[in-house]
Amino acid sequence: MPDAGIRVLLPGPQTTVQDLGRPGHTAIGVPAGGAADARALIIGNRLLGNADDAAGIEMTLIGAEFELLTDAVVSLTGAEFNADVRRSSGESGHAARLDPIVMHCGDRVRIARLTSGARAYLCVRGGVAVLPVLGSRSTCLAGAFGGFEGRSLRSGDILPIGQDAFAPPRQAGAALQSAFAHSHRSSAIRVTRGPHVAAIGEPAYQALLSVELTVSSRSNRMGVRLENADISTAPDGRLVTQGMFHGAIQLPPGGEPIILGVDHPTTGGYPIIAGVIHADLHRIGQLRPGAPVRLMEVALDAARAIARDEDHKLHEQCPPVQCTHSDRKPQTT
Amino acid sequence: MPQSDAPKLEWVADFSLHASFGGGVNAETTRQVEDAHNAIMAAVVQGAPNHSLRIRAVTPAYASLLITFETEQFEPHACETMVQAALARALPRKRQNAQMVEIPVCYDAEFAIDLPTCAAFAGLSPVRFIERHAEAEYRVAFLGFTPGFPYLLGLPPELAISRLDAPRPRVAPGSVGIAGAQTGVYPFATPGGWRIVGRTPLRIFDARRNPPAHLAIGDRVRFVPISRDQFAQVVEHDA
Repeated sequence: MPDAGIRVLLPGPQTTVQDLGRPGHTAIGVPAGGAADARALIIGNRLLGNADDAAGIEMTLIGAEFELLTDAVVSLTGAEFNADVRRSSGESGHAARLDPIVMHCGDRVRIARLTSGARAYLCVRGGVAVLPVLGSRSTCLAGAFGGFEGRSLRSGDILPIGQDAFAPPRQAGAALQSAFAHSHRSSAIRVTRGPHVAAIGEPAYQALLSVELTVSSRSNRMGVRLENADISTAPDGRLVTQGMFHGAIQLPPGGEPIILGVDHPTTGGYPIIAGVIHADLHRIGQLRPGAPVRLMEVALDAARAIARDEDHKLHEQCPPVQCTHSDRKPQTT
Repeated sequence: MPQSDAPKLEWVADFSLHASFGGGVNAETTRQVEDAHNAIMAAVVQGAPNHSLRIRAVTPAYASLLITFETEQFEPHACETMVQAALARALPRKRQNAQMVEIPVCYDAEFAIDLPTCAAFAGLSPVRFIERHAEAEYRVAFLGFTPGFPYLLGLPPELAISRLDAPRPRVAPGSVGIAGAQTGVYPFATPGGWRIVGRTPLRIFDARRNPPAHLAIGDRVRFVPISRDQFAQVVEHDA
């Protein structure tokens, strides 16, 4: 039934279908993409019994409103926001983050302005079932493909809901609730020293680490610009164009650093002064304009140990859903 | 021929290894990169069942490969060893058969918005500039920046010109640009600072095709001048 899905009532400024991206196509210039806060999407999926890489809906700064055209179970994760559910029966009430919400045909869910962080996610049990393109359901805005017609959602769009769920929905435990409650409040982002510090100059790097930076309003899924860096010694030369990575902090001639986001250009020519550690990559997606940022240096080995610890912690707080090939059969809701 | 130096490996982030090939921007170095890229991709395929190294992405550029690993069961020294072994096995690919791709380009004033500036800078008439741009043979060094964007080597040196001081907010899809000694084709409407000397009616990237990119690393490329009428007949771009 083509109409049995999620209808977009109010789309917000940039609302897209995202999963965990398509990292294997950078050699043809295709960004990895995927949810800007992948951790939030994974948690939303696990609570619903979905695989980690099920597609959900990513909203930006200002929320969005949706109507369910079928019975479904959804979860809301990511930034802090106020949300409510209005039932077709006429009742309405607050919609909490994390815990699965049972929706009936005709019910609406509205995510209001985000109060902290930059991106909120609506996950649905079974996943958003747009067709995968190059191995992913993520929207690639630069290439206008993937997701829903390769673009941000508009009023009236209807997203199909899939049937790939592998376990019953479950409540978020206390540990996850408390870990999630403050996850977007800290201004500290951990980095490792970039490969071009020698070329840029040690003083510029130390200056970057010592000041409180501010997230620019000229930030998006491709990159987050940082103001107040006050690096007067930014080099004016470009490097030979080379491969770039999610979390690389580039220093263009103007001296305004850019943290590369999930949709970053696959190659670039500005020197890399630092790199956000893997465990903090999801937080790049939650940097909202005006927010303070402090960069804290850690060693490479420490960064890898933190990645392992954070993976382990998430595993404890919100275990992945077991979806082996043998039981990769849809479970009915 | 003397054996070129082994690429230098450097961890540029916790899970990203950068292999740099010393030669700078030239055809010989890009061939080395292409061979190394193929060797690593072959190692990924062959090694899949019995080793735990998992590569997330490999991004070639003019003189480097960026290799990003999955975090599970990651061990930096094992990654380095695997990459070194793959690079040692890199063999020059037989290139006699590198395909020649002809890209029709309309150099009409409507599209070639920077042609007057570029021609004047080169000290050539616009007609001569177009002839020089279209008679050269180019080679795809790599695809980067945005889906399908080819970085081409082989621009006649006298056509080289710096980027615009301020990038344009929108460059039309199909635009053929020059930046320094590089020339390339914008597959999509995007902000851009390259100087635009023409436009191709071809769709340079289409995710629904297999392969999606019109050009591949190593392809030989020639631009074929077409008229405004011919452009209108074959244009594949949306709107």
